[in-house]
Amino acid sequence: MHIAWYEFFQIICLCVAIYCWRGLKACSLLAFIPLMLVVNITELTAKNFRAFGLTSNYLMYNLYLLISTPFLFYLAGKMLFLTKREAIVYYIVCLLCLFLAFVNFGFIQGSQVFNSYSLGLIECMMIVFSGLCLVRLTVLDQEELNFMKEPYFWINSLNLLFGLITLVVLGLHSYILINHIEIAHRALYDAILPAVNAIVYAGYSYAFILCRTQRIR
Amino acid sequence: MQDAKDQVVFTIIAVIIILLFLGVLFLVMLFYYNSKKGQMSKEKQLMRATFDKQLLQSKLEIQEQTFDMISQEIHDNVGQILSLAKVQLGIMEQKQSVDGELLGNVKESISLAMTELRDIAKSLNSERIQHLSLQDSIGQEIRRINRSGFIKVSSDVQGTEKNIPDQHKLIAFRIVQEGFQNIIKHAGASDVKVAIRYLEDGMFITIFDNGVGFDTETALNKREGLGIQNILRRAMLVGGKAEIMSKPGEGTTLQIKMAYV
Repeated sequence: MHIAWYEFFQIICLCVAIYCWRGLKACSLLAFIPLMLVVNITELTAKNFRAFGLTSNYLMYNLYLLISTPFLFYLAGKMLFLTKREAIVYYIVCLLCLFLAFVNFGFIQGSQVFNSYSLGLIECMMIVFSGLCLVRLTVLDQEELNFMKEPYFWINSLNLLFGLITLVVLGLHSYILINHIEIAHRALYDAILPAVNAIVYAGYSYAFILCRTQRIR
Repeated sequence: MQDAKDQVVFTIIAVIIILLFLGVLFLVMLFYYNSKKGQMSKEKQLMRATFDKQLLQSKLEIQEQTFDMISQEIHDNVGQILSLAKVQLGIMEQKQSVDGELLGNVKESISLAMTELRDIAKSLNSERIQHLSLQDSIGQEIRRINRSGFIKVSSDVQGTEKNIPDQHKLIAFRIVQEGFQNIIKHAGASDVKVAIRYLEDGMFITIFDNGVGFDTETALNKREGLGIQNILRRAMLVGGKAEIMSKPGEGTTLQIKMAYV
């Protein structure tokens, strides 16, 4: 079994999430545990797709998109502190996005091609939601927040920056593949995304620890 | 062909960097907004504290003026009338047309009332308090309470009184007075001990009573806790600290800590 170096960060992140589950529960972020489980299973199986007799790992990443998105939207919704009316609008938009992702998976790009349209749409939504979360966090609270000790800040900042990078890199996935766009003889996304993933999951781990310390405090 | 690919790679990386820059810029703006908000909140709190302090100072000034006026009235008006009544009684006594013993009793009562009134007038007069040492002012107040016979107040002084600013002296005395008033009104105590300690950098005044005690937190939250809040605020006004420790059935301790400057 092959495990890429950045996957260790994902495994550590899952372990930290399980260790800090009470803190995550207190911060309404418990859904991170199943999300991290999905991330780890997807990455491990996708990296070793040949062992499963598959010719490509796109199916796994496409399924990952469909399975992880509800968790991501649910978590973003929790961090947005929505009112009842806002929640209705928010979940309608999320359901519509999911519906489009499913349509893309079933009828447009299909299961055997990387669903870059779905990814583009989901990342756009995540960028908007993360931005809104950060604005809400800053504007709504009456007192000055210590951002460095605020788990929501870390998670949303990382989501925002990660979303911006993946939107470009994976949005151009097909183009990069067909035209063999490479840096140091590696596909552009293979060169950029591992480091980005490592940073994001290390940041998530820190945010989970903050959730735990906040709960204890 | 390779050049074209390099250009594409360069463009993609440039776009990523620009987007990242925008993302980071957004975060920096949030940081800036957050710190501004904090700064404004602190300024607001400071302004409120200053306003409260000024308000309290004005209230105290008005209170002192009222006390001075009452003191003046007692001395100039009521005191004079009582003195006159005493003289008149003396004349009647000399004429021997009425019961001498009864007249003697009335004279004694009037004398007592005059002494009481003089003491009250003295304790209300801020100039007199500022003129006397704090120890003497508290001593006079203790003697006045002891004369009533309801409560036994004893005092213990350690150290020598330093040069205390008039404002500090007046506020410390008013806090002690308020403490005594509370004990007389609410504590139902029979024994009160006052300990004054003069240290190098400040003084401690502690008043213990063996009264019924009370739940300090509940009292502070209630409207009736205004007297207690006044004690705490007055001490804060001169940079001091007043603490009230009490439990139902266990008496009350009022501790005042105040710097000389």
